[in-house]
Amino acid sequence: MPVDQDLLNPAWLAEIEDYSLLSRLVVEGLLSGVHRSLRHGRGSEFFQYRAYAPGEDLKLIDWKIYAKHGELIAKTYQEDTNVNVYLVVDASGSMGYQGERSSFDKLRYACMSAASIAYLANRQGDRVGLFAYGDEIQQWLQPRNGSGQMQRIFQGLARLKASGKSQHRTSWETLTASLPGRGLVVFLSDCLEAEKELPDLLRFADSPRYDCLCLQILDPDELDLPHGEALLFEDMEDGCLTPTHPEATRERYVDEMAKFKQQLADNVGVVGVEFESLTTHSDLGLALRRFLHQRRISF
Amino acid sequence: MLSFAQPWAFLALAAVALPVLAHMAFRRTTKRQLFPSLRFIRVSRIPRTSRKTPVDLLLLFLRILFFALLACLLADPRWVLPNTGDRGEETIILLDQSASMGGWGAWGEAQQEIDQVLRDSKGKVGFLGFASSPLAGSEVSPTRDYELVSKAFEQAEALPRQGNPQTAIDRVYQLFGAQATSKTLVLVTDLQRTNWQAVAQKLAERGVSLDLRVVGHAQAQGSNRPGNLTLANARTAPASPDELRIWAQVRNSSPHEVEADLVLETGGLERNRKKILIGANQAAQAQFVMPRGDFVTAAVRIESGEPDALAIDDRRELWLKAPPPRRFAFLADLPAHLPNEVKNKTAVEQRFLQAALASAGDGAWDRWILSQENADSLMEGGEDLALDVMLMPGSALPSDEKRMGFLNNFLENGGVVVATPGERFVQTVTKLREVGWMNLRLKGVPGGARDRAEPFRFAAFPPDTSLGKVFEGKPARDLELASLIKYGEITPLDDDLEVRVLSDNEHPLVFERKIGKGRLVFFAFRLDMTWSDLPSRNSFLPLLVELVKGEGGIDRSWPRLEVGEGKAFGDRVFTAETLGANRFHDQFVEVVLPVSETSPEIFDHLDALGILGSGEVPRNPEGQASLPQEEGEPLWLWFAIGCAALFLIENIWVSPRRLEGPQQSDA
Repeated sequence: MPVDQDLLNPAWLAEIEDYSLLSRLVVEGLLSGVHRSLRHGRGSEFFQYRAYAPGEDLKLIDWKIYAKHGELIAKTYQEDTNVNVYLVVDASGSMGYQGERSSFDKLRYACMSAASIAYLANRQGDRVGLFAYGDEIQQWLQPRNGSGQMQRIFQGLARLKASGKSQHRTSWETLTASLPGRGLVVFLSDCLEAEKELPDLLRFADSPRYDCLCLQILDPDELDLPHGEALLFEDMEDGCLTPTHPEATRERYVDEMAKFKQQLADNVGVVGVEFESLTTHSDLGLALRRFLHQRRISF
Repeated sequence: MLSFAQPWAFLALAAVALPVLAHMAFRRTTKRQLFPSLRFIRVSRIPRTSRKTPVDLLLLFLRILFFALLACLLADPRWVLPNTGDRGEETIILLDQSASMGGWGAWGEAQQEIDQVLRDSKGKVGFLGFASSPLAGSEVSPTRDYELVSKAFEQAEALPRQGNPQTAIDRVYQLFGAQATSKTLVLVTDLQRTNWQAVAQKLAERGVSLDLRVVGHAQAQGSNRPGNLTLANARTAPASPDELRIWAQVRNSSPHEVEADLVLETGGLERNRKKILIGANQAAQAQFVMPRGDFVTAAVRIESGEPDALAIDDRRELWLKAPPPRRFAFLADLPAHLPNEVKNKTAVEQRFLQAALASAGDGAWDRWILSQENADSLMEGGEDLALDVMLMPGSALPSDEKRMGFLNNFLENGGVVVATPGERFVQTVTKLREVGWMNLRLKGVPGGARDRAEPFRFAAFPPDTSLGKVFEGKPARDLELASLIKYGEITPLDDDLEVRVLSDNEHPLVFERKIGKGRLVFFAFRLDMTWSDLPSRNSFLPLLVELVKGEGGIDRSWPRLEVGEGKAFGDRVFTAETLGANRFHDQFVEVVLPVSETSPEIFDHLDALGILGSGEVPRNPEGQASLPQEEGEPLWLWFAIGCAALFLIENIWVSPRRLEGPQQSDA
């Protein structure tokens, strides 16, 4: 699938303030030259007749035609793909981190990804909602479709600010209590220090009615620590201080971070959550493809 | 007062500059870095960079303190008594106050030397006198008040004691102040030889310069100082039942013959005078005879036309009283089951011995008295009872262990036990072995059935023994004629048994064994006529007395002590302080001048410098004399603990750690 990489390059996209434009560029860039992606199969709207292939479900045979013409003809329908897509964005203080190697902070990347996914989902006729929280809920838009909803989502994303200590449990408990009957939840967060808490909060994904895609967004600095001289690290959420020289502790840090990511993926995988770890250097197409893949296998 | 044995180590104080420079030159610069999560960030030591102004003042103070303590530790800190003075030159005058300093003009010369020292001295001066030991009463710590030193010398005098500089010099080391820049010992002495032979000091090594001022050597000729007549000895002895003989000996240390008068004084008056001529470096003696009982003390002194170099040794006092009598008693714990014949024989032997000993001596100067009450008390556990000899005819040893213990105590404390065998000789040998006194083997009792016409005889004594000296000439012939009818033929099995008397066929007849301070004398025959006619002989009493006295004899005169000596009488100790006739409770003691102080021999000046270890005393560049290592109480342990504690605190302080809560200031 040819993709114009420049259109998906987050460094380039960072210059675009308007999420509407940004998301359209991303999605069009990703889908340029691709036919409309529709699944054919069982659904409510007739699509076409075709020859029955042995082994297919007998329910597909149009028995009236068989009675008239004596041929086994399969009747196909356009599948109903309108689902509820809930974009859940972690806007806690840690999401505001922007390393020297990045053009923007993690929250900005999360918002760009969320806008692109929202645009893509809307383009496919899905209803899209937004739920963003830090130490409190910042945005909560129930899933709807249409261009007006897109504008609301883009504006909501633009208003997000990274602040406070992430309150995963209270926020998720609030959200899951009002989730629509069926849907796909896309969770964008750095998931720091939550590898034990999140599986419990995302357990709803175990249900056949829901799917969840967890996109972990990290700054490259978080993978291998900032480079340079000694630093007095201050926690962005609780203000604790730790003096250290990155060079002295980098190797151990990288090792422990990798273990953390692996443990997080394993833990959320247990409850049926698809997991993808991204950095703010990753092109946005990766997140979108992951979304499309998840949507395809889910519904 | 805090002092340091290695003050040069304070050069290490320069190290204090290190933390100051470090704090001045470097500052820990840590840029604050916001970060999403510190979960996997480990604390690490942060190197210092960039030049800044002093920070962490408390840490700086801590580090300065650490280096300061370290420098003190290297300087070997010590705690010395505060009275050891302060900085400056210190001189201590050590004055010999032994008896010899009173002669040969030494004291006057000492006065001049000390005056000169005080005139020439610029620093502090101390004073210490010594005789046989340092004279604490004369001690003056180094001071600038020279008057104190002059007074100390004015109060000093030559004492009738022997000198011993060794301990006095040891004391001088302690008198010097720890901070004295120079230490000088001015030693004023006459170098009397006997006082200096045992001295060994290392003055130079201990940082003390020696200024040896020898006095009293104006008339010295080589290693001798002539011109002294010494009353070397004077004793009292009985001359007849009514008279005493006073014998005196005079020594002349001059290289020429001296004529002198020996004067006897009693009751403060001259009673007799005798002229004696004493050859060059020779001695002469004279005797006075005077009636007994008129006086209890007498004095003998020398009068000479020529001036005597040392006057204190020209006179002696002595007791005219008879010495204390020898006390004897009997122990006759004969078993009740013995036949009366045996008991009677023992009783006869006891009565004979009692009569013999009571008649021994002259009844006045040399007396033997029966003290049976003392013996009985002693056998009941009494202590400090006067008893010299316990006679045990028939070896009538106590049957119970308690009484046996008291008897052993008597022996251990210097008593003498004289035992004779019982009628059944083998039982006596067994008893002696059982109580652990003597281990003998009895071969038989020769002569028991022999004709008395062919008796055994006593062998002559070797001439170099005390018995040999007594039994020579007529007494020896009398002993040789004595008959020995029967005796126990015994072989001694213990190595420490001494055979005092032999038969002519070389069988041992009298054994002696030392037990503690006392002695056990065992006769191999009974002292009655059925065993030997020795008791009826003239030689018996001298033999018995000599055997009781033992080899070397017992000095029956009153105790004679040199000044400074002590002697225990029971649980009381008499210390000789005053020359002359002294009374101490019921004891009469003659205290005399130490003979060594009257000797004309002197020690060589150069030899004295050698044994005192004098030499060049090194001074350090700061002019402070090094302290001897052992001076003062070492404090290095405390400083080491302090250093370790500061080091630990510093490490904890600077060790990287996670900081709780937001910090507003840069570290």
